[in-house]
Amino acid sequence: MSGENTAVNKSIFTPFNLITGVIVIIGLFITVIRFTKGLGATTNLSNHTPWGIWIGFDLLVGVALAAGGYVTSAAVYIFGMKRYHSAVRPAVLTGFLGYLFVVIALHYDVGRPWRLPYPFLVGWGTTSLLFEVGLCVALYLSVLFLEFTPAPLEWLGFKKTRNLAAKLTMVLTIFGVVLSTLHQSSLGALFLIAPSKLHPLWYSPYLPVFFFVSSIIAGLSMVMFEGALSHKAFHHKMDETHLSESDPLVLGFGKAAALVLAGYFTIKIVGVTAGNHWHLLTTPYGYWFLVELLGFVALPCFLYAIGVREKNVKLIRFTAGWTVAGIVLNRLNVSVIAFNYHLPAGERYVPHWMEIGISVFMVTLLILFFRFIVTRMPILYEHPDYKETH
Amino acid sequence: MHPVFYTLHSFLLHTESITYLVMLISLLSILGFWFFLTERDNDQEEETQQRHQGHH
Repeated sequence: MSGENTAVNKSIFTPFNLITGVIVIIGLFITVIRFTKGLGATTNLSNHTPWGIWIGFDLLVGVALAAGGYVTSAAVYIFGMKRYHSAVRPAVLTGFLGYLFVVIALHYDVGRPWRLPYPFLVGWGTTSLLFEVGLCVALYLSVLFLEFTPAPLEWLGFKKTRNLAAKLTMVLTIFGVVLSTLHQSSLGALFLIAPSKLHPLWYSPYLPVFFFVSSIIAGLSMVMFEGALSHKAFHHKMDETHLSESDPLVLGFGKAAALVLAGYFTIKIVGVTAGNHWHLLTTPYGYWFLVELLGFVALPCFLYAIGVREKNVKLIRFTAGWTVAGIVLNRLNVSVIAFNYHLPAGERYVPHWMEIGISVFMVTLLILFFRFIVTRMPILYEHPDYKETH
Repeated sequence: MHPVFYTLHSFLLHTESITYLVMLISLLSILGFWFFLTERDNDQEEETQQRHQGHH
């Protein structure tokens, strides 16, 4: 008996479970404080800075990194690149969970979360960008859920419903691309209202274009980065097709990412030129802007190109992680670091530890959900009953 | 040296002129980058074709 208990104890108390368990307990503790004592007790938000990292990281970064769903679906179903088919399900799952936790995190950030459906049910604020973002995110979350349903339906054995859901793939992909184009760009457009608050090097009339183009980069890089992590953690779950398509997928997506990064670098330079902000590049904020532009746009662009030329999958995967970090940096620069740049240091926003705690809690929950689904449902392998349907 | 602009027209003339130059340089650079990115693809395609011809 004691031997059995030891075996059970060993399987439960793994380093991963212990760390995530502690994070979840702390996250639940902060959640109780947030919803009983309000935003004032858990955040450093103020009238100067009403949007902190729950918007800058959980929402802006979350939405950008969840772009892999629409990017991969569009590549496979609209552009007919069937050789990347095995990447669709993990990408759609990452996208679905990404958006789900964006919406969950939003409940922490808004003062009265029970009023989130009001824009759709009570008053349609059709002149507001925020309304458009809200509507698109709500619709796209539904689209991603429907795109994801074939996997749980296969797992549960509901053949007829699964076949019906699979028939919707093409129309859902088109909806996904349209909705993503709209709200990825509108998230950047939200900052157009604050030209005096956002540093001129990051503020540009082209912000919506920057956000949309960088979301494509984020999507492509996230699919490769998530694929690399899945290969390490769930290698045993992958079937032959998934394993054999993995390297060509990395090379193909790496090439696309290099090209889009080159385009993104160009339009960022055009942004500086159109505003005539060259002289700001020699200021401290200018150096920071150059770190982002050269270190996290130009460098990964070059590394992706080298990786593609040399067929170096390892380098491309490393670059994907680097690019994901660059996207995080860009969104935080726009929403937090270069925002309210003119305020004295004492009045600048620094996130409360509980804000960081909730963001870590959200990421941890996302990883736990991803692991739960991937270890049970046909995400990294094809269900034997449906192999011929692809 | 940061130039001084007295009218919106002179500002737009200055920035747009430089933007057009940047666009031209960028388009040419991206073309070069595209060749750099896909250079080995052509080599590979040729190799594959040669292999096919060798088999036949």
